[in-house]
Amino acid sequence: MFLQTLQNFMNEAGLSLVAGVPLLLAAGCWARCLRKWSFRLLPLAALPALLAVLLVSPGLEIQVKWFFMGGTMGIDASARIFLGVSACAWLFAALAAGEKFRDDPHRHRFAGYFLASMGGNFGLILARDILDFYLFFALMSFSAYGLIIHNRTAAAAKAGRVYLVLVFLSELAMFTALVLLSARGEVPLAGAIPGADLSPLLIILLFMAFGVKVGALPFQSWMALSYQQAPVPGATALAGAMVNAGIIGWLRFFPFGHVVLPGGGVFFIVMGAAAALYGVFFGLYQDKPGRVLASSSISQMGLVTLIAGYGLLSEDAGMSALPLMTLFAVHHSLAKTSLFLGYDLVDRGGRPADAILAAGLLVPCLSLAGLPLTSGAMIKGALKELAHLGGDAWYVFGAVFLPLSSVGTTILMLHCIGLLRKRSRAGPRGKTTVIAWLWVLSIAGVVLVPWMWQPLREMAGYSLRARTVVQSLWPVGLGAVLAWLWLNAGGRLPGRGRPSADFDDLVRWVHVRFLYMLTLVTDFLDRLRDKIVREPFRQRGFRRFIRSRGPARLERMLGRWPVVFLFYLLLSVVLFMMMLTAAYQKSEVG
Amino acid sequence: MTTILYSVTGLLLFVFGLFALIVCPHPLRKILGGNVMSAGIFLFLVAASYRADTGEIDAVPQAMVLTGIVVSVCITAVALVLSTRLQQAADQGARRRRKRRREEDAGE
Amino acid sequence: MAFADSWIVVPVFAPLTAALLAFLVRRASFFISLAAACLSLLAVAVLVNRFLVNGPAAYAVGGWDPPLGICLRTDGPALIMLVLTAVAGVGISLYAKGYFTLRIERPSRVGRPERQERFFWPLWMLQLTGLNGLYLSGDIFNLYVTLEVIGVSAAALAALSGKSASLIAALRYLLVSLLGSMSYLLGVVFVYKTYGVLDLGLLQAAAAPAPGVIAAMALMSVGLLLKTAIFPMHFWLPPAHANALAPVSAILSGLVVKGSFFLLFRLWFDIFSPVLPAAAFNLMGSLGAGAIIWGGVQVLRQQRLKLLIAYSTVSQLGYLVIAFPLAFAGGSSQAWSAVLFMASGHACAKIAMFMSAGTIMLHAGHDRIRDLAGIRAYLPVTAFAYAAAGVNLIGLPPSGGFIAKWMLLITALAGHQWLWAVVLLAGSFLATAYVFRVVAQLFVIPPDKPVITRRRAGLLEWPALIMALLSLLLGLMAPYPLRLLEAGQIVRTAMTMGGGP
Repeated sequence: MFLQTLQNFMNEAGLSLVAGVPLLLAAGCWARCLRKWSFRLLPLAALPALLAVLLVSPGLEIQVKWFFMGGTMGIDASARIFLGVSACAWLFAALAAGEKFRDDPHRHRFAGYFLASMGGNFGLILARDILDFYLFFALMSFSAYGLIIHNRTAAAAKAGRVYLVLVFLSELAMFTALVLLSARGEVPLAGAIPGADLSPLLIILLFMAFGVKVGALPFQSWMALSYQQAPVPGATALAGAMVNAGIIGWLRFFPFGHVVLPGGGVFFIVMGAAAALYGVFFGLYQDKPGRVLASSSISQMGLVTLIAGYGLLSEDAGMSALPLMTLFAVHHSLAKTSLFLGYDLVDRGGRPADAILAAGLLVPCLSLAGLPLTSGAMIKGALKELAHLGGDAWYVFGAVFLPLSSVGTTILMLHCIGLLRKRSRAGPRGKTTVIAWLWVLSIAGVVLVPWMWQPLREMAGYSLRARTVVQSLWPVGLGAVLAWLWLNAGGRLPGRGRPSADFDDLVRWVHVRFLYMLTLVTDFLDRLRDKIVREPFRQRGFRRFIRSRGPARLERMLGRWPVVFLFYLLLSVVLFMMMLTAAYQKSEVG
Repeated sequence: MTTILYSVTGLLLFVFGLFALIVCPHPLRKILGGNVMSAGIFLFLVAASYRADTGEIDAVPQAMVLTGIVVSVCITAVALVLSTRLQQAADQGARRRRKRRREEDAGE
Repeated sequence: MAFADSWIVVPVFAPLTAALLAFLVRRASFFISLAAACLSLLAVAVLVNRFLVNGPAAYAVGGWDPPLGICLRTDGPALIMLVLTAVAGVGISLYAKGYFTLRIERPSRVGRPERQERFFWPLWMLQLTGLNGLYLSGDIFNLYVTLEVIGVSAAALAALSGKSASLIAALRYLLVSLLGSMSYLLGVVFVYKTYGVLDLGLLQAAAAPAPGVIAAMALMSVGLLLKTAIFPMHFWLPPAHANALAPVSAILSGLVVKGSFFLLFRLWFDIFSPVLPAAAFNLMGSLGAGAIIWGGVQVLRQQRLKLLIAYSTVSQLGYLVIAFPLAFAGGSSQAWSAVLFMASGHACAKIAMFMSAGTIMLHAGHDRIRDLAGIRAYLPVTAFAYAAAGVNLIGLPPSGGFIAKWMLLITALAGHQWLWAVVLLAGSFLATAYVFRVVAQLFVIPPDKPVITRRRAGLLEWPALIMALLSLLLGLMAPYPLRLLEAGQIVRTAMTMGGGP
């Protein structure tokens, strides 16, 4: 009995600490007297999450009564994986940030936003009910704004603005979706959506809500801007951990394997495929490492969208898409964290030997491209199997499309390595022991995790068969050759480098349109009012009444005693009559 | 019979008072209208205190009437003070305006 | 035991005593009032605690039993309103002290602020007495008396500023409130004629459609609607609230209108619900919809900050009434929670807004919205408080307004009452527009010329911030009021079963 209570208490405390410690430390950054300590403890903030992954028993679910409408938190299988990989990414990012900002005068501001986003990210992974999820998601999204604008340059401000607008859009979409869902009495996060009747509107809303986070196609513009403008540790967290929030959202809201949404599936597949290709082309035009890495994220997340789409096509496919999306998130997070740490090292003037730098960057790059023996190859193998389940036409799509995306990713990643090497040679030298070790550690993670980890190891066997090896090798080879040719040719694509879409123009345009529409509507109402109010009343008494048009006059009229009396009388008589009729009807029935 | 007469008279007084409160523009008349309204209600209450079935007098409505009169006196007092103040303010404003006009005339 | 029972009279008698003492002992009036406010906060805390342990309490004052004596009782909704009033009471007392201190330091006319302060404290304490009495009273005639206490002290408070505009507004306020309470009283007489009882619990047990009750309900409802300033009869509210002194505006807009609304809601949902048909609820809903839209439109027209806030009260009160048809569909307990969240969130936010507006007016010398640019640079805390309170009016999470609108919206969608849902969203849209109109002005980059001539005062800024944060974080404390309400639900059924005294 006692042990039971103790264990309950430990579980509750453990889970609360996962999000609680970062949030408390974030609060500490705000208070002047605690700042120093909070900043020192920054690298440790992700530890409770790691410990929770290792220690808390799986399938745990607890009520946290003190929180926002009495929330529920819990760890299920996928939450555990997400928590693990996010915690690792946050840990790396936090260590890098602690090192980088040690002497920055604004370090507390950065740490505050950083920790708040971290708390939000952990919280949304653990949240098991609708409001908590929404709240943590909002907390994370809005705190990340602080990370992006940290440098306070004009470019950073613009990136932040774009990000904020899209986040508002996503919040709005999610809020609407949540209202619609809970109006039907369904609690999506408990995994109990009888999902068959997800309407197209809901699918689009959910796509928007989480699509912004993963940079799905119409909402991708923030990624390139923010990854480039945020301080690199912040970008590491954005790319390694916060991106996954979008995937979690989809996993939570679409009950894969219990629902078949052919229309929604095709929509997701098309959007995903388009994003995968768009990312590659967009990236090849960029000449800043942050932007290239962001476009690789757009492209990779396009693949996740694709998987989600396949998962919605049939129940079997849903069953196998569910783990695959999780694994893909892990694979992408590991690789991106490592790449960003490498970028960080270069950015701070680590100037490692050229060969070491190239070799170290190649590992995660080729893992993303899907070279045999890496997690990328394992996942692409599984993805092909998944495409089988979708029927013949989809198989062809998968068979043609996947190698194509591999080729593209290879070229893009080699382009990125080229940029980083150029930058490494040009930049000044700095002191970077810690970050170098972190980088090495993360590369080791990219190599070893797939082999240490049961679910990926199962796929590894499949990916090592001769046919699959060839299948996954030739796109990478082809990509490498193409990239070599392209880089030798000067590394230029036709056209004068697509300027990054100027979001401000778009916003201004929309705003002007909106105002115009508004004036149209009000003009119309104005004319309508003239028609309605003027025509019927031509008598003298009413003439005076009409002169008092406009809200001001009407309001003044409402203020006259006789008018008030009229309403007073009218209301009491109407109420009286209503109740009387109801009473009579009741007595007649009785 | 008498109770009905009292009740009807009370209600009529209420309506008259209401009418005065709404229609008359002068504050004093409005206040008096409110007083007539409350008098009507009290009359109605007094009529309600007679129980036809037992012929007894119910004490509760009488207590209510007493309380109501106290409340009504309070409100009347506050309203009168307010309207006096209002009158003073209006007078002051008028005096100031007159004075200014006189000064302007003298200036010319 | 008898001593423990008598905690219930403290929220009524502490402010009443303080009102008398503050009038007599002029020098210590602030400390007496603050002590009374704190004491009633303490008493309310004790009452809440006892309610959670023992259930509802009833206490016949002075040992006189009803119907002739006065009976006070507690239940869940009343306690929530009491807590709100007590917390706001302490906050407003502190703010008022700061406000008058600053005004006395630099009077626009010598002697006037002193006189205002002298009358403010007794009247404010009397107001608190009336409000607490309203929430605690257990029979409909005592409710009438508390309504009158509230009305008289509110009108006198509104007249305090002494300008002729405020005198006109106050007189009108007094007459309207007289009309409202007269029709309420007539309703009470009808009820007494029909049932021969005044006690709320007994009435609830006895309520059935009868002509007398129907007339009574119509009269009482309209009277209370008039006193609450629901849409077509809201004319008296904006001038009265906007022309009063800042702490008075906060009292009137935050607390006073909630009192009569609380009574209205209690009559409709607890006492006389069997008498009322669905059509009546829809009528109320359309009044609320009208208030939201019309009030919102009027807010957008205003050029003065205080008038803007006053009109936004008109608009926000609409949300309270639009809850009627939704609650009718969704059941009583959910209605209570949505309405109470709305009322308390709005009360805190509105108090904070009027406090901020008063501070801004004291420092800038005017409240023309157009000329308020850059106040943030001089009064950062106040500007932030205004913005935080605005978040509640818009209804963003985690504010109390969010919880309330969320509940209403969900009920509307679940019952396929699309019209109400559209109105709710349109109201939020209007609120966004008018909140941002001011916030954007307050937060712009300050112009070169200094707007401010006076020094800052902590007592003016921090109470506003605390009230604003309360409204903003009300959503996070949601479980506690809900628990009180659930306890109250059980109690009310028990009361019906037992039949009362």
